[in-house]
Amino acid sequence: FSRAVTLAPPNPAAPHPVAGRPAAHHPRRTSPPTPYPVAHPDTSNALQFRRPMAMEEEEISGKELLRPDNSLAEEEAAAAASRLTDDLIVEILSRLPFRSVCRFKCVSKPWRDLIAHPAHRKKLPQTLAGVLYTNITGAGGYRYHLAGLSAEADGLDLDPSLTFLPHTEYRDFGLVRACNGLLLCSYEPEEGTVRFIVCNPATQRWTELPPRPRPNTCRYYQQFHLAFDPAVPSHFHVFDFERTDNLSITGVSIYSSRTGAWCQSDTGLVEDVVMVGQSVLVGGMLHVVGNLLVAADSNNWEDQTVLVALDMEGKEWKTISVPRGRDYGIVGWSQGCLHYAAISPAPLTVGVDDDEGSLNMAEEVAIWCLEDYDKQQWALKHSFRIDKVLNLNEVDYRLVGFHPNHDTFFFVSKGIWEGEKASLVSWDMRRRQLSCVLHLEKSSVAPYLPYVPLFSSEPLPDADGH
Amino acid sequence: MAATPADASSSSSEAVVGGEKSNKMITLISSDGESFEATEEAAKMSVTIKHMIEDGCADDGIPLPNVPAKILSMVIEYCNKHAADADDTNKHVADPADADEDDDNNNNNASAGEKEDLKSFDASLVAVDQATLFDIILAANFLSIKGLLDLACQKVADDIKDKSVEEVREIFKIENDFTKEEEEAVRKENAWAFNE
Repeated sequence: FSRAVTLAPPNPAAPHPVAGRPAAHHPRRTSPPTPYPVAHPDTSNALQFRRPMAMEEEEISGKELLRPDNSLAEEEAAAAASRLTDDLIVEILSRLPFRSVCRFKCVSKPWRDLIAHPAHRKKLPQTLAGVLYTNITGAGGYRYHLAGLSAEADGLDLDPSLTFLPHTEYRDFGLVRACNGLLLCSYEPEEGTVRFIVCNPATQRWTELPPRPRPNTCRYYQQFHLAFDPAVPSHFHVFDFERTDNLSITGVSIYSSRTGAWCQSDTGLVEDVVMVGQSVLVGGMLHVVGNLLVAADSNNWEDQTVLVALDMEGKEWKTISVPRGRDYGIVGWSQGCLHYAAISPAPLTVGVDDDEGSLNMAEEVAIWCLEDYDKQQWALKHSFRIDKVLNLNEVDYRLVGFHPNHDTFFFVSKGIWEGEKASLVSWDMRRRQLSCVLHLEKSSVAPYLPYVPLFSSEPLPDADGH
Repeated sequence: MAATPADASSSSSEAVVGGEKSNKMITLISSDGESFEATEEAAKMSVTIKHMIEDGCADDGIPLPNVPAKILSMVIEYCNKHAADADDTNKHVADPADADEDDDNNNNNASAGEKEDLKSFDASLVAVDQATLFDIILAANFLSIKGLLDLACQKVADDIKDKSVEEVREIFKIENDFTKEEEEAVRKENAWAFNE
């Protein structure tokens, strides 16, 4: 049988309220009276055994092969595992997806506490804390808020109000984008110049970008984008697309926090594309929702929604077609797959209570998942009639985004009458029902930004500029 | 048993591109008393050893009471292989700010083939049983070899990513100290994370 060994508890000096915590050394027990089986006899742990490369001269004795009935190997494994410190366990857990880390809270109480401990948030994967948005106060200023999604969000030390930032008094200061925990804000110190600030509300660190060498002549907030990949945490990029008066992209200026400089590139696209929507970072490339003008015939042009993908250097450009919608939709990354939501051109779901009249007014949200990125094959994952969820005679809505870890989709609904407050609504795709409705502050406005906090101090400098 | 580095480039290179390197050999002594030799360049991939060398403590060999011979020889293999690579691409492995994707594209003196070779070397190094893998993690941590720590931790993470809670307990030899009610409560809170 195997000796059960308890994991060393976290540092007793840490301010974590757990009663009856044993001292730093862990007691070894023999033959513990566990109420549940610790290991199934036929559970293959997928433990691979391969002779270490340097050991050619040495003979591998029968003892070293790992078999369930081999107590020496079990002892060695137990000894090695027990020597792993909390920090090393966190190192391992930090390389897991959020879903796995949540599951492993059930392993033991020390693991549960380790995962929940605030000190480890810097390393452990986080999930959606909520949706950031702006509201206009009575005095006409802007305030920033987080519509928090779970009790967990309350325990997090976030400052979504952005009071730690400079320049918020400027009339045009705006929250523009969120990407993996970093936020992009812009403001205009004087007519014709835009300055950018990238900040982290969880660490209250921020940095102001140097001005572009050649200011953009045509400005519209939709053209600014932020790219930050937590897997490459040492730097971020900011994209400022350039366009002519007819709106289609002519080029882009990209700021790299690694070089500290802006770099201009002309468009690599042959087609005329207008950037209309938000973006997501996938595979090291920024994917932006855009509108492609396609000639239907010699006199008519059609809008076709595409994703414009480009790399951090502005060298590699491509377009990815997306399923047709009534208008352009929302792109997002969820559970390892690129997702796209848009209103379907025709209703897909017909209810028993539908007649021709109601079908004319029907609005179906179609949610697609890009199953094969290279082949650009989208699969219809889910759809629902939003006109049956909301009373569209009384409310307007806008699509917001995807939960990164669950099959949940967010939209904001707002009464059409003046002075009505908006709500952030979560739609649970699996249960086909609303799972959460959060009321927002009065006079809330876009952008509505799904927000996953980042507790790491990278890549922004601290107050002293380090 | 002394494992001399078989294919480390530094033993034959005299002229050096940027920075000074010596061909000096360092002796490392495992916890069970075996001596291993490594070039100073490879040994300095361990920040711990680097500091000892710089403090002048390395002359009679460096005892490593926490690292058994079996593990030390694997660590040295890793350092030999990666020191040669760092030589090629002019990277200082201990500086995490340098390890980034853009560098791979822009500043790459090592060919794509060499990168593949390194990747497959790394993969074989960590294709070992769990006990050895944990020992590698402990050694890489003690010796402050970031690349090896990252590699070994990533391997463990990849191994356990889709495992059940029971399987993880078995791998880490952890006793379940939840009561039945407590465990049910935590499972319920995180129900979405379990396979339906």
